[in-house]
Amino acid sequence: MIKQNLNELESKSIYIIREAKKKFKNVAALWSMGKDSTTMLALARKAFLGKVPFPVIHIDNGIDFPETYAFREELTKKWNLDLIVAKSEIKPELSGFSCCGANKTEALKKLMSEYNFDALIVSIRRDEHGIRAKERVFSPRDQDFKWDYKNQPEEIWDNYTSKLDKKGHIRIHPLLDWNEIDIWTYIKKEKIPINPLYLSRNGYRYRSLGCTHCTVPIKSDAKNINDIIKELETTDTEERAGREQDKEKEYVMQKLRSLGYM
Amino acid sequence: MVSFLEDKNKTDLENEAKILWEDPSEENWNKFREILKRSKAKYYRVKYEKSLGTTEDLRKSYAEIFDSKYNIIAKVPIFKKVGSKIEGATINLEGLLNANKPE
Repeated sequence: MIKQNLNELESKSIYIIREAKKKFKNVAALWSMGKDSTTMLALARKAFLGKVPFPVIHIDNGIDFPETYAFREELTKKWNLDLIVAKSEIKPELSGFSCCGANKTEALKKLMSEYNFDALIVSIRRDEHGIRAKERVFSPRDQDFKWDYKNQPEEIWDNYTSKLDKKGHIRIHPLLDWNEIDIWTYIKKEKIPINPLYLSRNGYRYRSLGCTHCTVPIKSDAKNINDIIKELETTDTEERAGREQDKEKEYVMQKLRSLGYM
Repeated sequence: MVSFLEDKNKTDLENEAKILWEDPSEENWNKFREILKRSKAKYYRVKYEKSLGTTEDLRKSYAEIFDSKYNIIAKVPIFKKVGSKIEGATINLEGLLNANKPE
């Protein structure tokens, strides 16, 4: 895994977050308590003098890891976050990708409609999955959350679209250009708090975090962030190999994402 | 005296776990959380029946609770009843550590 210039990545992400706040009336951010979305919040604090000036949404299906809930409470207090918890139903007949996708999307749709958010900051990265690699930094969604991946806006010289579908919203992706090792290197540099599940215990740790149903640990002796970075420098396993939803075929994922599923 | 209290906390945990299986209400989960704090519980592992194919599988899913030596001390459901619906309730295991290693 190749490390990129952190200062450049940080500057660009801060610019993107500030642009989002400037261009849209009602911005919110998704937070899963994972390393990426927590890094995004840390960048937002840098962008806005130590504050996160928009609501932070946790879509909660009720079966997250207890450590995730504890981390949520701790960081919400420490960083004085305006936290909104959107409860999503668990529909067992849709287990696996669909459970996370369909149910969380429904919960998010209700919330977006209730609060009238017009922009949503989401912490996906291009290197995570082929489908995510197709995303734009400012990515429009229509009122049904559909993504027209064949007809995306141009993004030339950091000019990002602010054109909204009447009742749609824009997804803002400030971490698109970051890769996994950049995130960990930044976390180490900025001393960003992390969910303890990322660290090894009993020879296992979680490299990517979802809920208790769809995430499995990996074999690892990485007990601290330095160890994680060393591990990533030599691994050839994909980051999301332990996530059930990513085992769907790529074209299926793309189709579902274009229809509005997360 | 200490041994008596430890045994009492363990019994309370087991009893409350049984109550939760019969009635996983918000009220019973709150009582369970209080007992869990006083107990020797340290780790948890969540187990799902098959792949959550039906509501029944969901109801059968549970969390094993272990002491510091990985002895099982209780098994609890991981959902609560909210009216006629079921909601996930793993938040009630806050304070415990994931057992991490797969079986």
